[in-house]
Amino acid sequence: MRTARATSRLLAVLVSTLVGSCVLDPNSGLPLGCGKVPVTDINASFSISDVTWFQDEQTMFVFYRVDAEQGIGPESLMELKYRTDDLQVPWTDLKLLAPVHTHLPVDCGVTSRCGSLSLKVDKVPREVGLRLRYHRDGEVSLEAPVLFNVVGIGPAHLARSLLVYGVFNENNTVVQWRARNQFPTIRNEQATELGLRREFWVTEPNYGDLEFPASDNVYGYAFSPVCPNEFTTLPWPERRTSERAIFESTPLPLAASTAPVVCASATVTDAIGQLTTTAIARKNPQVRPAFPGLRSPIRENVPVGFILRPCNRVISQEHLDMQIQRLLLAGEPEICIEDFLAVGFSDRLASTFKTRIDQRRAEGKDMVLVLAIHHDDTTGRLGRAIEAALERVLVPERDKSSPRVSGAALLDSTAYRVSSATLKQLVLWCPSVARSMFDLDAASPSQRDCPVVPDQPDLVLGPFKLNQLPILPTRQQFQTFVEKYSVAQTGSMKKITYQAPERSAVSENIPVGEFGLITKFNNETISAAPQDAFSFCTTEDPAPARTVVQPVGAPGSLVPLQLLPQLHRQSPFPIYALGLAWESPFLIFAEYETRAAIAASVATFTLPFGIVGTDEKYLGAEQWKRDLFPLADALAQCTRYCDHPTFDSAGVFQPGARFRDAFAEQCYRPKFPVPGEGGFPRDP
Amino acid sequence: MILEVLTVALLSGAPDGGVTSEPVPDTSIERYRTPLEALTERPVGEASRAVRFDWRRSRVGFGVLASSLLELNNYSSFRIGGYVRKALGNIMLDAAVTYVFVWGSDATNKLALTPYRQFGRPQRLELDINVGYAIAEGVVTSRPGLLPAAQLVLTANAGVRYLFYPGGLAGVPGLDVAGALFAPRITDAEIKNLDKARLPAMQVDRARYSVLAGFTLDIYFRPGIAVTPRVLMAIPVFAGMQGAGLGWWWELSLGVGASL
Repeated sequence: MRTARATSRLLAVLVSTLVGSCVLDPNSGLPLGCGKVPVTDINASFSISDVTWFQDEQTMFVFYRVDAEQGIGPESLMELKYRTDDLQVPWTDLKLLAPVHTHLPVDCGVTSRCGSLSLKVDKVPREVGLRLRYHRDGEVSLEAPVLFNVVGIGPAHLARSLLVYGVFNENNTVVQWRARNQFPTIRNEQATELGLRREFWVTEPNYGDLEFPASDNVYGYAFSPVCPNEFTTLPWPERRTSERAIFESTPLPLAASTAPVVCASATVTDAIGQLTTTAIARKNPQVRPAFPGLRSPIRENVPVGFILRPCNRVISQEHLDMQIQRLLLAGEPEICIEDFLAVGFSDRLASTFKTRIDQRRAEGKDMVLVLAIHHDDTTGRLGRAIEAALERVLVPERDKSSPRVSGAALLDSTAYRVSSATLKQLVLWCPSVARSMFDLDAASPSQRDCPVVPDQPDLVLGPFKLNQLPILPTRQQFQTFVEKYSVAQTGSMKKITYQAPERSAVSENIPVGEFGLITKFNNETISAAPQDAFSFCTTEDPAPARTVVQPVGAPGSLVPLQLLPQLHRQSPFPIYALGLAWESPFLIFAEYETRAAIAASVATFTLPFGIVGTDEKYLGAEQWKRDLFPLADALAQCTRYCDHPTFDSAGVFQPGARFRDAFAEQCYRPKFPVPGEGGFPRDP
Repeated sequence: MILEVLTVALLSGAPDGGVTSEPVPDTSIERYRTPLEALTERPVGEASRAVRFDWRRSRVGFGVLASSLLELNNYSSFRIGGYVRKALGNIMLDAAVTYVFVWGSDATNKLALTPYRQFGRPQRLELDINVGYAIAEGVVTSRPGLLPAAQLVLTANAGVRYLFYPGGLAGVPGLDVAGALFAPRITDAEIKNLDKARLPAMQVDRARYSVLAGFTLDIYFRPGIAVTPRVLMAIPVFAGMQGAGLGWWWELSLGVGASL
């Protein structure tokens, strides 16, 4: 019984599926798949049906493309009709009409028919019609909505269907002559795709200097009936092709190195004969990287450490030990600070710093002043006194050549904010008061790199508490943590290194307000002639954005590197000095051990333990990780032919884009033609 | 049922069975009754099968076949080819390879003059795999009398047909050929190639596989000559997926062969 029911169900599903497969005809109501196979319209339509008549050439060009949902067979015909004052041509198969130019058969696919034709038509045609006859033996056809244009008499570069121009290869040594189809509604490459081939040939090439023709003639075609007499003749043979481009077989001689233009006689054909006129090839702009890169050797600095603490009392020995350990200052001299309110404290402090610095300078290495400040002053007066001492030491050191003191790194007992604008760029004061949203000043390196970390609440999981201490904590953070966990869980510093750029004897610092300093390290300059042009390219590398230029002879005029193209264009200077902007004088690399502290409370006992991990951190300016700041990709300098057009990165010749105008703020990544790459370059 | 009858019998026979009443006839078993004649006739075909040729015991069969396709369009198709088959109990497996000739008609020639087209299929090779199940058989007397008695077997069939268009994959990259060969739809590259082979006004049907079902009548003569008329219907269960334009169509075929 079960088997019978299952069989019945299966049959019912099968039958319903099969019945469902029969789509009902909305007209007859009968299932389509169950009856006769229907006939369907191929839905043919013209996507291109353009006709243009050139009066100067007495030639009519026809371009067409018809698409359908199904194949248009070989029996289908394209037919044309037109009428002039003297002639009436009825519907005629295009294949029966004699073309003026070469038109190759085009395979547009089984669902399309496309092609082109050129006819000799003496007078302006009217009533131009184009249609697809579905079958040579049938009468049913599809008439096209013709786009008809008439191009009247005018300058050759505007009124001819084909113009000739030349371009150069990358080295400006080999000329490629190119032809360009010029139709009102059909693009150059589209005409080629539709089968049109135009023969042209170039003779009598010569080189020389030429003032560029009118601005509306961007290709310079037919700028003159003949090339200038003062040009030097090149002994090159005739070059002829029916493709769109052909290279000269011989490179330019050395004597033509400074000649910006090659001119030649270019001949094209039309329905009434030939037109021979001038075509020119302009050399590509000579461009090279303006400056390869700023190199500033990065050296490891020697820490010169001090422990500043009250000598007459103990605030917190555990905290002091932590500060000494964090900065690895064990064994460094101590300075008593209980008299920090006394007159002359800052001078005495500065004198102590200077004395030791001068002793260490003999080692010949750059130095970093490293201070652990152990105190309980809440008025901020101690901090300001230390600031005053540091200012006396660091500002003169800042402008010295190596060996010198790059800056200072401090670990304070409380969060502090550096008030001296000069000192902000020279010290890394940790922990720092964090910058608030109401703060109008820019964040100092201390605020940016080691702001005080808000207290993290314990993560409580049953009898367990978890937390972690920042590696550079305030005393309050440290003591609170130790009360809950233990000193052993506070972590430890393993290694600290200090890196800073080496300054040469000619290095020069230029302060830029509170934003930092600009250093010209070693007289790096860019020389430029007045007619030179620059191109700035925004890259992913932040180095160019940190580079500034200063026209030599115009002190105080600092501009970002990206504005150099405009600056040189408006007021050219012969030399520009290069400088590097920075906000922090050195880079600290700290490798330390962290502990995820855990406290387990059992009855009245608390058992602390931790999970050890290793971490590392950079503090200060990360730009000092490397000693080369590449600029080759960012700044290009054109030294010759800067007003010539050039190629874009796709290899398309841009006749209206002069280097000087078009690439000042754009990346110049041209793709030049290469001999042997074919006769149909990209030229939309 | 037996337990119920016994329980009723026990209850009615108990000494203190309560109230004594007239026995009620039990008719619940009536629907399971079968006439004796039916019981004796039903296994006749299996218990005492009259056999002029025992096709189940043949090792292999082969032959030639020809068929006409009734595609319900304006094109005519004729198939010719060969088959092999093998019996497995009541099941008959067969495979066939055929070439299909296609020609147009006056209607298609006139249709070609217009912007209208009709689905059809160009000339091709076809590979058939069929499974049959014998649903009736027996020995029959032939007319005229000079022919020997024959074994008639009516078989229900179902199978799959694979279409291969010679030249359809010309110019297709080697790596794509394998994928195209087994794709349920004919690829665009094949359509492009077949555009040269299609008949006027024909829109090439995209289906590469067909599911067919129908009946076969095998007439066996000793010592194993088989004449096999067959009728099959294409069932367009995958038509939507394949983009097929042909719906339900028929095929009438006749095979002549031998079974060893």
